Amino acid sequence: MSYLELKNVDKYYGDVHAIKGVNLTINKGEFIVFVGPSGCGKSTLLRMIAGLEEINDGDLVLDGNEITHQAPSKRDLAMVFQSYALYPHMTVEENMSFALRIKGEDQSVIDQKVAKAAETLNLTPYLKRTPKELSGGQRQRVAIGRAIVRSPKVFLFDEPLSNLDAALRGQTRVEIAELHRDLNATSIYVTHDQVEAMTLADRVVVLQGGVIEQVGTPMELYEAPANKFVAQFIGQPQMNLLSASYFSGISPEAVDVGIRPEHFTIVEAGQGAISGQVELVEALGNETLIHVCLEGAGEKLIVRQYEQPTVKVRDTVSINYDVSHLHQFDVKGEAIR
Amino acid sequence: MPRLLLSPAVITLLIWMVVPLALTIYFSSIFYNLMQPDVTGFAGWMNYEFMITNPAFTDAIWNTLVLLASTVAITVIGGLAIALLINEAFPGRGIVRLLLISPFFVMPTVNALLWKHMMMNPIYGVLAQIWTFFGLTPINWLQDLPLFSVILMISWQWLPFACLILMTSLQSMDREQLEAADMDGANYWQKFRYMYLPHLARPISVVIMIEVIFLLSVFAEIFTTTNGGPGTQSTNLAYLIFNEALQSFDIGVASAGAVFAIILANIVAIFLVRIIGKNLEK
Repeated sequence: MSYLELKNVDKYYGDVHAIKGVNLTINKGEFIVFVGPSGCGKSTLLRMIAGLEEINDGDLVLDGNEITHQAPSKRDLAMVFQSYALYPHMTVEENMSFALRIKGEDQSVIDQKVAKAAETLNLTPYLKRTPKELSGGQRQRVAIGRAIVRSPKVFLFDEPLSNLDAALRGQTRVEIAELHRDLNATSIYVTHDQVEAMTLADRVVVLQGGVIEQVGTPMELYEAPANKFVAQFIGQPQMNLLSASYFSGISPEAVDVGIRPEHFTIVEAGQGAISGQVELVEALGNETLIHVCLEGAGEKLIVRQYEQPTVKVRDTVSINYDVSHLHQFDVKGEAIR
Repeated sequence: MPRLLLSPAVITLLIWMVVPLALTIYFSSIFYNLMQPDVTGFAGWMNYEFMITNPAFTDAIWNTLVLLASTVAITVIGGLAIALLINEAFPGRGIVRLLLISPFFVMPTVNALLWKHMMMNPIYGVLAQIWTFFGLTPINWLQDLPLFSVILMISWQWLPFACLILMTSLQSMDREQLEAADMDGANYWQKFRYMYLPHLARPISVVIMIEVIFLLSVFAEIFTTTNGGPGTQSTNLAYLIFNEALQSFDIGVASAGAVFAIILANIVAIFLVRIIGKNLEK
């Protein structure tokens, strides 16, 4: 059951083709995350859905209604901005009720909705304050509250956590996940942070250069990336890419082979398929990352092991890999299944 | 020690202020008419009585306030409208802005002469030409609508000032806030009422403050165009004081007028601080 549908959506800035014919269907209640590097078009795509950027070509359908060229306010969407965009001279209560007051809603209905949203977000004690008297995290919640009060068909989040410090970001991420579970509202969330993408999303949309590279659940992206870009974008540290010549028994079309760091194991000298010299050992406590420079061509890879380091820098090590977790890519960088 | 180092500046300022004030009050209390040098001595409240009972005095106060209020209203409302209009990017915006600001660089006397001769002359003035073109009888502006004409000139001069300040302030308006208002369904008037006006409250206060300071003492425009006339129709307090001092040569009465001007300025200042001061504290 598709709820929000993008059909061949295009965006041009002068000669620049920013969004190149994107097709996407989103189901009701889904939490979709747009992720990609800077300038990939993820924010532009969100703003096009919101109606803040014009859609140059293609169609946008929400709940059976064509909304491609409708004014933002007529689309029944609510957005949480990166800068929160709270109205500085209004109290929290006035901020949250603004849309309803504009619409001419009944005062009792407004009060009730605001009170409910404030309670959900733990903002009740702050209703009479202005945004500048709030902390960053509280402002963030007001911005979300302003969206909730309108009970829109779709929530749009534009990198909402990027202005928060690391600790608060983690906490707010959990709150957003809980909120989504409680409200069960369809949401689209833009971020460049893959941890946010992996933890929040029902489905992740990976974008690059205005094109969707892959759409899938976080685990699908991790375990079966559609191409080299997705393979390297998802996962920290990056998936290792080695030339196919190191491997035997793989597809003849394979040019590169990707292996995640945790699918390598260090074995006794001479026992492994690959050998090289240790360049760097990063002991992080719960895991150890071992950077190895391979003999011959000088290709580098990272091995992750969940135990205390057993090797030292400049040791020569032998490495084995898990055959069931090889990702093979052809000349174009597409995965071979 | 810091006070000692500050004292030269403070003392200079104090002298700058206190000496003229003291002299004004002193002159207002003695008989001091250049045409009657033999009449001297303490006058008590006589000079003040002369000033107040002068029928021109109430006219002058009224004209001062009318001129002040209407010029501030015209420049703030007009300046706001123009600033909002040219806030959006369009081809040639730089030149339009430059042209808009330029009247402020014209000297008040030149401004008055331009209006008097080029625009408002009932025979060859531009406005007369326009009136004739539409088959209307040209208005003799300075004769028939003297105060309005002065207000027009001063507004023309101060509109760019208001416009400039509000324009720069609009540049700092947060774009995402406006987008949020768009998504909340606000139309242009609602955005104006709830986004632009609160954002501009402070610069508007500044514009009003500065304009009030300068417009209480408008003189050059009146002197070069209407000479306060016909009768007292365009005489403001500053012009009346000039009239007493350098037309009637009565320094004593003129000084009493000056003391009234100080009182008037203080009354206006109190109102301003009450109404506007709150905005500036933020």
